[in-house]
Amino acid sequence: MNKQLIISKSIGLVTAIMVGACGLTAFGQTVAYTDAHLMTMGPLGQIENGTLLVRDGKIVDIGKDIQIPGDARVVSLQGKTVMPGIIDPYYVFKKTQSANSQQTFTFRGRVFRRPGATFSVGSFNNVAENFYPYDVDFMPALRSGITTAQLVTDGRGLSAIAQPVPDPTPEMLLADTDGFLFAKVTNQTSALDTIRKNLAGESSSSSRGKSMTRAEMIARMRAARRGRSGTPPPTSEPAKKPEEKKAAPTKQETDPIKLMWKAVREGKKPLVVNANNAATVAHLNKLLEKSQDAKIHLVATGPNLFQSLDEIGNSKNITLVMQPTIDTVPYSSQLMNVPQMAHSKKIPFAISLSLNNSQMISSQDDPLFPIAMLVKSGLPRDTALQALTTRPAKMLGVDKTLGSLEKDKVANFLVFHGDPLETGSRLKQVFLMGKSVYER
Amino acid sequence: MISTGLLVIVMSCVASMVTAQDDGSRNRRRGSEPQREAKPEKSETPSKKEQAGPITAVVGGDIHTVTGSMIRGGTLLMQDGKIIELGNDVDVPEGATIIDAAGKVITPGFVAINMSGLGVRSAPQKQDKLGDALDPFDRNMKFALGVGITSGCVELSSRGGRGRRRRNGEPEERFLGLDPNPEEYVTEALLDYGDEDTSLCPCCGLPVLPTEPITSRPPSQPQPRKFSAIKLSFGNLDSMLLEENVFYSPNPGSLTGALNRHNWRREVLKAKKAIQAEADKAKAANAAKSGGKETTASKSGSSSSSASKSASSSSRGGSRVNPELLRLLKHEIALRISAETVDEIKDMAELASELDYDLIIEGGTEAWLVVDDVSQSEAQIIYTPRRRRSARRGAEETSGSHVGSPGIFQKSGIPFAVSALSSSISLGGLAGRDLSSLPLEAAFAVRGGADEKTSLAAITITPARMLGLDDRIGSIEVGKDADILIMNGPPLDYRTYVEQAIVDGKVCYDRAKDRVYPVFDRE
Repeated sequence: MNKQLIISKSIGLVTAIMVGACGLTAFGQTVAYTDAHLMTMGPLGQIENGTLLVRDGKIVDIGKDIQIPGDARVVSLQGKTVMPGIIDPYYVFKKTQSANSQQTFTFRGRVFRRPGATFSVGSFNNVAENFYPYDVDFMPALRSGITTAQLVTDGRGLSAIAQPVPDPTPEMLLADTDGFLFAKVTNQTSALDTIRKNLAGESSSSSRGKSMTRAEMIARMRAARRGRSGTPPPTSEPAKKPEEKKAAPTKQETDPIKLMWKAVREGKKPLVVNANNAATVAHLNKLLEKSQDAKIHLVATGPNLFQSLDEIGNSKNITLVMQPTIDTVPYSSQLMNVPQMAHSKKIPFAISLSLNNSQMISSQDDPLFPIAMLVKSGLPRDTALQALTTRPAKMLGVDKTLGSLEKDKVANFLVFHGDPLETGSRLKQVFLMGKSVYER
Repeated sequence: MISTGLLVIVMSCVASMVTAQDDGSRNRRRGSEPQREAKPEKSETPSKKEQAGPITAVVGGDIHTVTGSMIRGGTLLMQDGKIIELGNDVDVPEGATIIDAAGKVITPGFVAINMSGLGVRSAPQKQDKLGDALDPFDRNMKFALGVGITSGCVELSSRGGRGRRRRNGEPEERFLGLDPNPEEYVTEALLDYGDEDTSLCPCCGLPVLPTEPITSRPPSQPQPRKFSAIKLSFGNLDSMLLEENVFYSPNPGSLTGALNRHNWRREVLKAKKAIQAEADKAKAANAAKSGGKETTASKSGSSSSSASKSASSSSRGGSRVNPELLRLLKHEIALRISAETVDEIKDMAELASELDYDLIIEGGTEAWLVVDDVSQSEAQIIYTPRRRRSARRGAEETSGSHVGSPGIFQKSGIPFAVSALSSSISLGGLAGRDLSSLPLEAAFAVRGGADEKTSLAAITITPARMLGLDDRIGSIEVGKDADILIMNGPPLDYRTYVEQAIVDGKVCYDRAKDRVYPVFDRE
């Protein structure tokens, strides 16, 4: 991944220089944002009339009575509210070819069931390697205040964590963090096996013999046959097998994907699973009973989750990623607040704004309006805001630098006209590494 | 565990040997009997160990046990998904959850012998397992539970028409790093059709062009349809799958005609030989164990090796015996085939008698005309009382359906299960003549002359027996699964509603809460 980044860096030299130049203008310069209402989401809690000192893209200091250096540029944010940038734990940036069958999805609170076609697992997509910055338009994300996002595709693969800067650069990807294994599954054997077999640690080697296409295989068979001039091929098979066996152990050690799966099995790294329908959630629960250590980030819609919430609550290894929506109970007109239900069952969860893409795009004036709805209907305010910031930061393993407004953390923050959860309180400005990247 | 399993295998082998020896006495499902004997032991041990499960008591209802006599105002205790006590003078233990069923009628959950589109969304593809395709939150299950169906038999093979079905020999979709070695089928393909760019002609040196095989493929073996039994335990995935492959079911028509029958006989014969070889092997192994070592060892060794040879030869390539067929001939499962006319039914009954397997006739519209043949072959019938078939011209008395069929079946001692006019829930249960009319269909059997007890059995214990699951479902008995219905009236009355459907001891349907069927009579 890093190698790839270096290459892409050298290719995008021009853009890199440009970014460098932009960085230089702010280098060394301290900016003090004063008189703001700071929602730090950290140990400092809420600070009225606080000051935020930013230098070199980092928060130098934060608090109520802070000495502002003489050379600092002072920006008054009188009457404004500042909160940390939103971290989106599941940002689907590319629809792949994989058809996911039997999907249930919600639109305007109603549950729809799409019968779908045969499930195809699709190819393994290493997002960092296949990332092409010009592919992605992050403007919708920025307009909604998302400053960090875990990029995934619609299928399966290895995710990458990105910063949605407005001008596409290779720097978008956070180089110091590896991604996570992610997979979208439905309740079919082929789909569930992508997770089940790997969690069980069964042989799922991506060795040559198995990743070959049919055409390649036939070609190889023919070559073998020509060499033996007409003798049937089965005899040539044993000759091949030892080779594979020899190759297998060395590969097992080096294959990064396998190492990732091993880490998942041991609970060192979480696995991101998008469950396609309610049945899949049940199947996943059953599947996780067997592998106690594995930690799962389960992405699903409210209606697909709510019938399995008890089971999810019982297993301690599931963290949910949910949409910020009020849903209807399937096949009824009753409304339900699934994040609130999850909270009352003490299930940890994060909220992904981009998961309900149409809603995110349609409510960009006040991006936290859906969250405010959840809070109004029973979800505690702190939990809701944590689900947007500190929780996903922890889930993505970036909580040391992101997720809250604290000293020495990266200066990703949002400026709202008023309280972010108040109707009509607009997102005014988005700061990414201390720079204003979006302003309305 | 393992030892009991072995015991079962040995016993079933012995049983099959015995059947091979004396053909005169026939009692059905011999293969499953040793299992049934073994099961109580198994069920005793966990109940001794756990003891923990909460007890639910259903008190005061009139209990139709189906297999036994009716218990008026009885009490039924359930624990860990099983019925643990039953009767008029049963003490409700302290702390038990009590469901008051005074004035209500209690029956076992209905068993639908024909079900589709329930609990399983789409038929699993070739490599997909049924267990993974189950959907415990399927809405249609509520509709079925609402009329009292708590378990049933789903057909999983997609019988064409869906367009996505893979043709024989077509390569399957493979998944990176998941599937077993894919080279198998490639080898086969090359062996079958020869190498395309073989070589040059030895005489003239010109390249030999690849030719397509001129002979057409021989007709493929009848592909058995797949049926599996599932339980409609809404929201509970673990208990949904009852048993896979509960029938051996070739396509209708695949056993008719001289060639087909010849092939079928040959197939059965081959399977019987395989069973015999297996039994011999077991016998030899037994003899080796018990008998003197030196003298018998060499003999048994040779015989067992020959047996294993024959087994391996039978398992190789095209001459492989279908394991389902073996189960059929061991009387573990029955052959289920659709037969409507007199001729079809007679043919099937004859074949079943001749080749000695259990037969279930699906349809059986004209079975009332050949009652003797049917009862002689000990066949069972899946019947839909409201299905009609008009008589042929000139043979009005000796063809077509007959309203009185159920009565005739009962009189002749032919067990019959009632299936609904359609196997699925259509339009959310609004369309009427679908699976949700199953109890009504049983009521039509009463109209056709069968008595109420037999008709109720036709949607409970009889289909359960057909599925080979009568040790778990189909009646209210101590030790069986706690699948019961609490109704507000007699079970076969069209005015009756199911108030609660309890599956595995859990309330999976509550009429007042689920609001699937109208609740206008409660204010």
